[in-house]
Amino acid sequence: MNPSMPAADAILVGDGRIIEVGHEDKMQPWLDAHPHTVDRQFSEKVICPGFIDPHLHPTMAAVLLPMEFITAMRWKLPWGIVEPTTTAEQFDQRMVALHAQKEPDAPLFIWGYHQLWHGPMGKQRINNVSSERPMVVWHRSFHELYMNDAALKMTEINEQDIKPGAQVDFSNGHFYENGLGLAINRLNPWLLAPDKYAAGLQRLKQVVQHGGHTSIGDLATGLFDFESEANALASILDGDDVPFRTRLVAHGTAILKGSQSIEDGPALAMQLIERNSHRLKFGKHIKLFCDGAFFSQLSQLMEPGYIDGHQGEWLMPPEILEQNMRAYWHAGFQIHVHACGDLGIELTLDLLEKMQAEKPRFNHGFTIEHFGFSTPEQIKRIKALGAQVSANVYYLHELSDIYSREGIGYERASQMSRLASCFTNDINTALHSDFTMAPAEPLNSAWVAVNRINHAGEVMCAQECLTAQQALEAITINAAHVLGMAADTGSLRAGKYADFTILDEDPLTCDAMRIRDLRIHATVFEGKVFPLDS
Amino acid sequence: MKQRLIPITIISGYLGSGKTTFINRLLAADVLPSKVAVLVNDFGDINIDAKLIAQISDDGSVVSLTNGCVCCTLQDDLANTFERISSLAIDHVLLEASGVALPNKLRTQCHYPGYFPQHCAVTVDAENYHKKRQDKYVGNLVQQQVLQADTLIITKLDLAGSFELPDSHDPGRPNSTDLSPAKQYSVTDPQLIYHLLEPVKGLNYKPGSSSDMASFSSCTLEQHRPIDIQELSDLLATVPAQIERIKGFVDTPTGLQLIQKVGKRCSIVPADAAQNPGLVFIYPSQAANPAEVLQVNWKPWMTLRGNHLHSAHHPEQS
Repeated sequence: MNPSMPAADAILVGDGRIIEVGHEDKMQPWLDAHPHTVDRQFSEKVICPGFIDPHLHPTMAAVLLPMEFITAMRWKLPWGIVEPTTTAEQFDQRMVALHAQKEPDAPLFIWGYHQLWHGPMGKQRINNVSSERPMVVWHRSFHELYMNDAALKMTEINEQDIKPGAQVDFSNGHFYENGLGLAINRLNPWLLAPDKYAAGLQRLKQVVQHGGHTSIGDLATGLFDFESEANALASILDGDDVPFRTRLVAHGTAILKGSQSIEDGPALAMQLIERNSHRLKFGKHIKLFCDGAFFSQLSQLMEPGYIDGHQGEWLMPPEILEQNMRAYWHAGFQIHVHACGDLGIELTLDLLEKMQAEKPRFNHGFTIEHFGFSTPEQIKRIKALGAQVSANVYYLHELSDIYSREGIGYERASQMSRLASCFTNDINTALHSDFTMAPAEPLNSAWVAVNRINHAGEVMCAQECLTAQQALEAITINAAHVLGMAADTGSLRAGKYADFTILDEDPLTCDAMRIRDLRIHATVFEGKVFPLDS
Repeated sequence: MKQRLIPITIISGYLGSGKTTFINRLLAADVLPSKVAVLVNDFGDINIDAKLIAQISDDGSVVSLTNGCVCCTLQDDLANTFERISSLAIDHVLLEASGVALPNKLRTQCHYPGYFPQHCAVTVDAENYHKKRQDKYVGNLVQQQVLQADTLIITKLDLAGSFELPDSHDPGRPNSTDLSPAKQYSVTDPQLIYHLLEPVKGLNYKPGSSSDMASFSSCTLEQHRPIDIQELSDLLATVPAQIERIKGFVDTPTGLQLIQKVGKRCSIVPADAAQNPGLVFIYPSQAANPAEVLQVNWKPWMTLRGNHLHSAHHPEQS
């Protein structure tokens, strides 16, 4: 990913950093001057810059990963591949099998149910698997869940507590949207108990390594509870056994306590930097929020909006977003704004334009996060304002088919993740998973970006396909720029950390449809090899 | 013993429309009855006279007042706050909503065990409302807030002189029609607080409906073969959970039946006039389309009408 040297056959490494990249015979001056060993273990492999996911959520992952997966899409996890379960019968068989494997008495949490594949879910259906063991079936979207009788008993949720309108169908054990708040509150002892959370973070560590990452971004530290999250991350994601570093980007409103005002935010965010350790680093970054989630169709869209006429949501009043943005912009921060729909992106760009008029800045790194649906005109504005894009391209794979029918119509659904346009306009553009929204597999994100094939097998807007080279940049050097780490990692050149992802084959020359299946042989973090045994 | 539910009065309204000023006015005038819990977004802009403060909790999130009321901050989410205050001796909640929340969604959130939404008032800034409702980003939101209110609290009349709601709100969205106008009070009206703590008559909101859903869709099955009543009743009991209402006529061996199902309540009674047999299933537009499931389960007796993927759209559940 160093355009001055797109390929090489040797890398010289010392003290965790790259000393020289190129050809072995040209390295002789270094070799003559210093004692060295020659390591040919990767001679049949392809050494890529270490992959970077610039936007995921370790805390959410820690809650999800201890659960069992039964999913319509394939999920590659370190402890095994979760093969697609696409019918109701298969779903029931999987539930029965998991119930049989699990130690008696322990509650069984299942994630990944979706009615389009798995048929109607309900309390009785789960009771048929077991009425003794507490079982909770979580919807893929995370916005609803079902419990069997034993789980209702375990959580002490009683029928007389449930009122009409609470979005709880007690007789069916179904909790959705607002009703989910009650269920989560009562399930928290099982979900967020310190030992459970720590076990979940251990699993996350494996997932990150198996995805081939050497750097990640936690793009909302403090999502649930700032201090407990920061402490758990510090104890589990730093240490010699951790093969990646994490950029911590604080949740802009979670760092304020009590009567602290928005204007206090930048100083508080600066204090966080004092907590930095070798692998975990806050920086002069902040995360802010604009419109609702793309997965739940709560993004704000410009006309003609959603087919059924419903409206998206603002996550904070535009005036408050502006107040936050102004505080951090004038303090010189790199601002990351969660913006999913084209109206959300429009507001974000309007505010950025206002900030540029108040105090012009260059290299400010302002990043639009998620970038679900945008317009071609906005691409030009992003370029003009000097912003960059970090996109969850998996939306296109999982949602474009259904959104074309039951959301926003074919034209706009096919043009989600308008990424080739970003590259054409020379906008720094990265891919992320927002894990657990998409698999934490950069090669999978790259595969979607290059092929733009949705889950139904249809190519959606071939004009926006990236080349393999662009996609690889989007999961390495461009992602490093998004996290403010490009001076240290993201490409292979003298002086950077020796962060590599070792593949069996070259993603730039293999059949594009195979990119997501390329085997990751090992990762190298600051010169230390971490083999993958899969 | 059946526990009494605690009523919640919601104070909604867009940012800057006067919610906090109104709450400060109530606290300063010391007019709140005893045992009211006031839930606010944060204490930053709340002024509580030091004379009124009896105690402050260790974490600073709960302030007990000498008149028997408490003020709490809404930390993270509403559900957590309800759990936190459930041990306090209170018999009414006054809830200050976030500026971007919609009343109908808030009402749903207030159906937490032990609580119910009694009244929703929306503050309207007399000076700026007409400009705000045309705003590119929040115009629709502020109009929806007004349309979903039980009571409108008109603020800043001293600056504006007078205030009138526009005759016709922008009907750009289907759910903005068909709602009765809310009663208007000036924020300075001394009767206002007593009105807000009372149940409302002639609500916009229909209790029992999941009215945070902006709109409803439907699909229709047409009958081609009579169905046994027991079988019919079993099928009606097991329709997908997102279906909120079923109505229509069904041909059975014992004659035509009128079917009406709302939530769990289902009635099957002989129809008194000839009708075309068939059932309409109504579900929130945001929920999954149940057509495919219905088509499979009801196949021996009924078939789906028309293109089920383009389901009919209902502006309001009727």
